[in-house]
Formats: sequence, C-alpha cells, structure tokens
Amino acid sequence: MSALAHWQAQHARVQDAPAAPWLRALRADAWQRFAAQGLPGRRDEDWKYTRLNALERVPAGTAPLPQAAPAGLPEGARLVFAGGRLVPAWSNLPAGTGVTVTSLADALAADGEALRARLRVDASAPARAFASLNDALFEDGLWLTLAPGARLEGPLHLVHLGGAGNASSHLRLLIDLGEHAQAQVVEYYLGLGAEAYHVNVLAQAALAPGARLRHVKLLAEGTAGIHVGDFRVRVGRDARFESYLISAGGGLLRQDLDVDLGEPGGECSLRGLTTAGSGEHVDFHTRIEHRAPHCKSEETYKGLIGGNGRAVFNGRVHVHPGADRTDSAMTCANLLLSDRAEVDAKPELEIYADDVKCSHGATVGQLDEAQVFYLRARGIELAAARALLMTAFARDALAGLDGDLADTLAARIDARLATL
Amino acid sequence: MSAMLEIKGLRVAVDGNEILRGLDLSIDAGQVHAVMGPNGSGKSTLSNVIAGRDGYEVLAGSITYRGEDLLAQSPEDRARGGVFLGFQYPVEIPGLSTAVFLRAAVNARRKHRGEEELDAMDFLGLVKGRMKELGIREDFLQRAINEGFSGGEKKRAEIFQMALLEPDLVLLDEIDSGLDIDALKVVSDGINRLRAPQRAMLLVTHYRRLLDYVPPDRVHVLSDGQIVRSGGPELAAELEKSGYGWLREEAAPA
Repeated sequence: MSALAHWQAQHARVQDAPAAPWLRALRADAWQRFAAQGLPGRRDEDWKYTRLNALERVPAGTAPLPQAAPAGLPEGARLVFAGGRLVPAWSNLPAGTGVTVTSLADALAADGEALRARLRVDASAPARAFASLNDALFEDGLWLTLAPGARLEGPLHLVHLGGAGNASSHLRLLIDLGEHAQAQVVEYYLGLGAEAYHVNVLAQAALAPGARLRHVKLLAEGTAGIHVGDFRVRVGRDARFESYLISAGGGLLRQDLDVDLGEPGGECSLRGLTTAGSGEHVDFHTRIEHRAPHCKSEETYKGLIGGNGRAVFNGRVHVHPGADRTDSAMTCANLLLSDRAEVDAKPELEIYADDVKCSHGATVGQLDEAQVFYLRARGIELAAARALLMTAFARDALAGLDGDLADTLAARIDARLATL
Repeated sequence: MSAMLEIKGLRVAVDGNEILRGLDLSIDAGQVHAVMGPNGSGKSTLSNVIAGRDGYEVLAGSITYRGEDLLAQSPEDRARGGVFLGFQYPVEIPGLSTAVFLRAAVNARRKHRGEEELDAMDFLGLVKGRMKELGIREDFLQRAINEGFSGGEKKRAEIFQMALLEPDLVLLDEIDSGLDIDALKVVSDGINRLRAPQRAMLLVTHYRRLLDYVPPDRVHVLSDGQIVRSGGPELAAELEKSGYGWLREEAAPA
C-alpha cells in the first residue's frame, strides 16, 4: 500500500458519489492534471532537497477517531478536523457580524455556485502537483469570509488531527477578507499515533484593500507524519498579511507560501521557525511577488536543527518591472545543534525594477561557546544554558505576537526545543 | 585554618602552548589579592581556568577551593559553590532577557545552598534595591543580556550580578579595563561593599588604578606563567614606577 493507492481509491469514491456536474468536471480535470504531472522528484528544482519516498509507507488503514476530543485543544472559536473531515462535536463556531464560517463539505453538498466561482478565481495559480491532487480529492475544509469592515474577535483556531480517520487527507481552506476586514487564523496540525500518514493542505487567501490577516500555522505532526502544505495569499491595495510558520515536529514537512503583492501599498511580514530533530525533514519554500509599486515585504526565518535532522529554506523575492519603491528584507539564520544536522538555506532575489530597496542574507552556525560558558559560569546547567540560548535564538520568529497566543506558542516551542 | 583558594604547581596549555608554567597562589577568606602582569603573562588564563572554561588543558598541578578539588567540577558547579568570575569581555546574548537569566542564576545558587527558590515577585524585590546602588537603568531587566551596553555598562552589570549571587570567591578579570573614572568609582564601590571576612577576592589587572580604589592585601606579579614576586600594596606602586620591563631580565632563567 502507498499513498498513491489511497488517492486512486479516493478519486474513485468521490467520483462515484453524487455531485454537481461542475464539481465532477473539476475533479476529473484535476486528477488528469495530477496524473500528467506525477509526483515531484529530484529533477524539480523546487524539490531538490526533499524526497517523497516516505509516501510509500503510508499504510492502508489508520486508527479510528478517538472517542473524546483530545486534551489541550485551544479555547474559544475552533474548528476541529480529523483525517480531513470536520468533527462538529469538537468545534465551536465564531460569532460576529459580517463573519461567515462554512464547512466546505456543506458548501460542496449545497451545489454552490459561489464556491464554484471562488475556486475558479485562483485557477491561474501555479499548478503544482499536490494542489492538483487537492483539487481532485478535497471533500472538506473551511471557508472563512469577512464582510467589509468586519473584524474577527480573537483568533479562529483550526485544528487538524492527522493519523486518525484517514491515512491520507486533503484539506482545503479559503479565507476571504473584505475591505478593511481584520482576522487572525491559527492552524494547528497535530499527529496521533506513530504510523505514517499524509496530510495535504491547500489554502488560499484573498485580502481586499486595507484588510489585515494574521496567520499562524503550527506543524506538530506525528513522528511519521507527512505534511504537504501550500498557501497562496493575494494581498490587495494597502492590505497587510502576517504569517508565522512554525515546525514543531513531523517526519516530513513541506510548506510552500506564495504571497502576491499585486496592488500598491500592500505589505507582508513572514516569520518562521524550523525545528528539526532526528528523523525529521522540514522544507519551507516562500515566494513573494512584488508586482506593484510601494509594497513592502519582511521575512525572518530561524532554524534549529538537531540530531540528524534536515532543514531546507528557500526564500524567493521577485520584483517585477514597474514595482518601484519596493522595500524587501529577508533573513534566514540557522543553528546546527549536532554535527549530523544539515540545512540548505537559499535566498533568491530577482529584481527587474529600479529604485528598490532589497536585502537578503542567510547564515548557518552553532551555539556560541562563549555564551554557553557565560551562562554556566553563573551556575546554569549546561542543558539549561543551551535551552535558554535556543529559546533566545528562536524568539524573533514570534515577534509581534502577543497575549495568550504568544504565550501558548512560546510554551510549545520551549517544550519542543528541550527535545532537540 | 586552610586557605580558601590554594593553587599549586599549576601548568596550563592553550592550543598546545603552555601559558601557566608552575603557578602557586594561596588566598585566605577575608583577603583581597591582586594579580598584575603584562599582556600575555597568563592573567586571563588564570581566572578562566579557575572558573572552568573549556579549551584550557591542565597539564599539572591542582586548584583546591575550600578543600575540594575544583578542577573536577563543571563550571556550573563551581559557580553554585560560590565561585564568581567577572568577565573581561561580558558576552551579549540577544533575545535572552536579563531578568530570566538572573533569576535562573540566583535560583541555581540558592538551590545549592538549600534555600528556597525565588518566584518572579520576590526576585524583583531583591534586584530593585541592588540596581539602585549601582546606578543601573530601570529597563535593564527587560533588556537582552548586555545587548547594546557600553563597556562601562557591561562591567557595572557584572558587579551587579556579583552582588546578587553573593559569591565566596570572587575573580575579577580586568574589571577596570575600558572604564572612565566615574564608572571605575561605581565599580570599585561595588567591589568594596562585598569585602567581607568570609569572602576572598582575586583582582586580575593590568593597571594599578583599580588598586587605588580597592586596596589589596597582597599583590602578585605574574610573568611568563609564573608568580615572580609577591608583596604588599606597595608592590603595585613600584610596578607602576618601573613598568613591567624589568621582569624579563629577572624572571627567565630558562
């Protein structure tokens, strides 16, 4: 058994079920596209350092859903998914005027013309293999819409439990913010059990002029969990997108993050933290398209890699002709905590406009022995000294977050760092 | 009564070069000793090897602290047991708040002494008063360790840490370097406040100036990895007059 066999069975099943003609056609097209593309391999520049062999180890079956909600789910508004399907009993919908939260299973069942139109909007986006696969196989997900001027009070949490209910899940997320709307979305991907499983998430966000989206994605998949995520964000005029991408466990994690700054005055701030321990492989690919003047992008990624862990960071900034007054800064700093740890960090800057301010840098180093000794000379144990320095190093990844969310994430990261 | 710190026949190499070449030194509780010497004489090696820094290979000899073999202990155990090294170049640690660091350090020491660990509130109460004494800025605790501090601020922060940790054996490695007169006074006052019958201090310095403010009981001259002369405070004055040049002729029979 392998993931491919799952997908074939899933494809047969969804196409057997009753569905609107447009949806059948969309799925059939996507499946054909995927079949033609095949899985990315060594020859794809974008997958140069990341092999997908682990997909062959995804077993035929998987554990059933737990009887009760797992402990420690976030309080407040939350949507809990398991194996790619919403579990309504564990979810609390957010309230608020102008805030609409729809499960995509409901939207698909309703034969919605609106959903059809929405899915068509991004049809021109890069046709990556896993995105095609998601088009072909997604059966559930979240569609969050905020009317102009609406504001989501507190973060909306999305929790996905992998390794239960479905050995290969395809989740779709749509986030649409009207003019000057404001939302915080926090995604947690948690893994159950030690068996291999696969999660494929395709997310698309559209920010109308002046909208603000703060997005957190925390990956804490199981030790044999395989997560492939693809997030595409269109930032409208004077809108702002903030991303915090944190890996805190998982066998193979790949996240693509594409930000399109297509209208003047748009901004994005991308922060991220990679932690990879033994047996783990984490690959973040970001792409920022500066297509309009007066846009700003900031990118800060930190990596802490221990054991025989492996991390990849590829950050591309593309300044198109006419995108004058672009202001773009990228840094990627990594600490290797063992001599078997590896990182490939590659900033890519392509500039086709004049009058721009762009900087980028990537560093790879080790914990500073002078700092370690300084702490030990004050009575702090070696292990605690290392932990404090790792936490200090990781801190930038969370800059700008506050309140309970910042505390929760910091505690999770501290616990994670203690295992590296 | 035996000495608090007893160093015998200490030979230490760094990267294969022998820096300390048979050093003997003994300091009793209640005493302040100064070790003076030219650049490259082994002054920093001496304080670093007592504190337990990596990269110093002990070829021979012993360091005994309160009757215990100090060389067998990790740096953190030495610190918890009351050994404090004030750094010549205190490191900056961006991202780590001074408050978090100091509380961890104070609690490590308290735990070792069998005292209860301090919570954040008690800790604040303890530090605020000490900060005033040393004229340390209010935002000091929230700032990252030594980040962006001037040379003088860093040294004052070292003395502040020393006051908080109440060590029994104080090693100050060129604590006076880079200080202007005002900062030197503040730092010296901080050191003098900690002079006590149960505490021993070793001041490692290149200049006599610090010793005007912190009068030592004994002065030792370190040259080429050995103590070549020891005497009272008057030795410091003599050194200043004649410089370190005479050492070469007098000290090197090899």
